[in-house]
Amino acid sequence: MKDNSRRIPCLVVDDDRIFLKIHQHLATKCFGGEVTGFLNAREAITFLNEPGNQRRPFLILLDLNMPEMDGWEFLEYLRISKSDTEIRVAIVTSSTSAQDRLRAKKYPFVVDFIIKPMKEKSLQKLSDRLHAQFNGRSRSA
Amino acid sequence: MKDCYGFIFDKLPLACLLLKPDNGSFIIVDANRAYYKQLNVEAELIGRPVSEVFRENFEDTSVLCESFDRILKTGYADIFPLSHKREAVTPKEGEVLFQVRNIPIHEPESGSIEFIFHILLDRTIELQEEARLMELQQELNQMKDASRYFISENSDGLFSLDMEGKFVTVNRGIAEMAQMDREALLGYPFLPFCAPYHKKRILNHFRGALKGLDESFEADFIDASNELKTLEVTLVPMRLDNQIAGVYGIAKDITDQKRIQFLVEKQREQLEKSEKKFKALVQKGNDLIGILDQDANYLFVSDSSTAVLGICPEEFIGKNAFDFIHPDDLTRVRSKFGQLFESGQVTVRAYRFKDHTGSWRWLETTATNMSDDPAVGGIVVNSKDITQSHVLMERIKEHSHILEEISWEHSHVVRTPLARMKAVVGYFNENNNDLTKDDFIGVLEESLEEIDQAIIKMVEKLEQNER
Repeated sequence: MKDNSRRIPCLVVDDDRIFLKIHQHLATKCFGGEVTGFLNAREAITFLNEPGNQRRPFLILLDLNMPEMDGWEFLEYLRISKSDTEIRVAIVTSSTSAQDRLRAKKYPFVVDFIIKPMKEKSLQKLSDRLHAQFNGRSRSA
Repeated sequence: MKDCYGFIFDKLPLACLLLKPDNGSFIIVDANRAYYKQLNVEAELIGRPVSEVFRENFEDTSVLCESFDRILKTGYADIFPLSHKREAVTPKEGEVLFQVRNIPIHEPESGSIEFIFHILLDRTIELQEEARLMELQQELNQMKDASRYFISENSDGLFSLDMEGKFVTVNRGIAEMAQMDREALLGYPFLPFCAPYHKKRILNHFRGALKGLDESFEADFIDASNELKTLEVTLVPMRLDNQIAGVYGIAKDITDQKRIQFLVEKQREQLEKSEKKFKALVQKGNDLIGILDQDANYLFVSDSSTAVLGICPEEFIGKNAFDFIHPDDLTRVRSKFGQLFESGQVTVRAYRFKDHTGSWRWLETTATNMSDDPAVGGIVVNSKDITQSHVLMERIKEHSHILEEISWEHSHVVRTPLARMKAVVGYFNENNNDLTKDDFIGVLEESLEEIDQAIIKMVEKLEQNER
C-alpha cells in the first residue's frame, strides 16, 4: 500500500489499447493514486478542462505517435493553455530518435522521455523524483 | 676734236654732267642723254645751278654738296669706294642707287679747277649684293658665336680625340660627364673611363672611326667619381688634308633614360603579367564576370559566358540582366540588387538564369558596386554556375528526407509492435491474471502483422525512390 503523500494523479494517453492497459497498470503501481487512461489526446484535453480538474496537478504519460492529435500537438496545447498549472508530462514512446528527444526538451514541463516498453523501474524513478519535487514545494509553501 | 669729245660725252651710257664753278656754286654746262634718261628729267638742265637740279631730283643732297666741298678744298677727285652705301644717292623717283664720282678738270696754266666732271654710276645691284653680303657676314659671325657657345656650353659631350685616343678638345658637357676639369681632361686618354666589361667593344668602335667609319653605340663608362654612367656615343673620323687625324665625338648621358626605360620595361612586364592573370581569371575562367550599369544593363561580359551559358558576350551588351532570371526568383534577386547601393556588396544565393536554349541554369552571384571607380564604372557581378551541385544537393535533400521518413517509420511504426510484444511479455510474466493466453497470442499476431506491413511499406518506398 502506497503512502497517500506519494499519490500523484496520472493520465495515460496512448492510442494502443495494450500499452494503455499496461501503462495504467504500472502507473497505479508506482504512483498509487488515481490513474485515468485515454485512447486519444482530445479526450484527455476534455478531461483536463473539466471544472474540477482545471487547477489540479497531473502527471501525464504521453505517447507521441497517435492519430487525430499526436503527442506534439498535445504538448503545444499544454504550453499555450496550461502553462500556469502543475501538469508534468513523461513522454512514453517507441521512438528512439534523438531529434524527438531534443524536441521534447524544449517543453519545460516534460520531465522524462521513456522508451517503450516502459519498465516499472523507470517509472518508479520518476515517481521518486516527482514526489521529492512536490513534497519539497509543499513544505516550503 | 672738241665736237668729238662732245659726241662721246653725249653717247656715254653713264649719267654725266659737266659743271663749272661759279662763285662758290656750280653751273651745269653740259648734261648727256643718259643723265636725262636715268633721272627721268625732261626740262633743260644746261645753265642751271647744279644744287637746284639736285634738290629737284634727290631726296638728300648733302652727300653731293659735301663731295663738291671736298674737291674745292683738296683739288682731288672725290670718288667713294663702292662699299660706301651711305655715300650713295637715290633719286626721288625709282629705286636706283647712284654712286657719285666727281672728277676735277684743272686749268693747265693756273691749276685752278675749271670744270668738274660729275658722273652717276648705277650701283644698285652691286650695292644691294654688297649689303646682302654684309648681312650674311653678320649672320655668319652670329652663327659662329652661337656654335662656339653651343659647343663649349652644350650639356652633351662634344670632344675630339687624337689617334691614340687622347682628348684634344672637350666641351663643358664631356668634362661634367667625366667629373674632371676641362683642362685636366685635355691630353687624357678616354680608355680609363670605359667600364671594364665594355672596354673591348668601345675600343672596336674607336678603331672603326679611325678607319673612316661613322660609329654609334651605347656603352657604360665610369667617371672620375667612380660613378657608372651609360652614354650614347657617336664617333666620326676627323679628316685633315684628306687624312684621318683622330675622331670627333658626341656623347649623351642616357643613364637616367636607361633607368627609366628599365623601370618602364619592368612595369610593362608586371602589367602584362597582371593582364594575363586578369584574362585568365576573367576571360578564361569558369566564373561568369560581368559589369552592369545601375539599371542592371550589361556593359561588359567575360568570354566565359559562351562556355557557361552558350551565349557570347556581345549578345549580352545592352540587355537587362533581370530579363534572364526565372520569374519565381526575380523578386528575391531584385531585392538583393536594391540592397547593393547601400551595402556595396551582396551575394545572391541559388537562382535560375536562362541559357541559350532557354533552359534554366542555377547561378550564385556576388555583386559589388564599383560605380565610383572610374576604371570600372559599374557593378561587377561574379557568377558561379552551381547547376550541378544544386541539383545534387536537391537530390541529397530528397534522399535525406526519405531516410528521415524511414527512420521515423522504423522508430515509431516498427518499434511500436516490438515494444508492445516486449511489454506484454513483461506484463504476462508478472502473473497478471487479467491477460489470457488468447489475449497474449492475439497481441503477438497483431504486432507481427504490423511489423510485416511496416517492412513491406518501407521496401516499396525505397524502390519507388530508386525509380
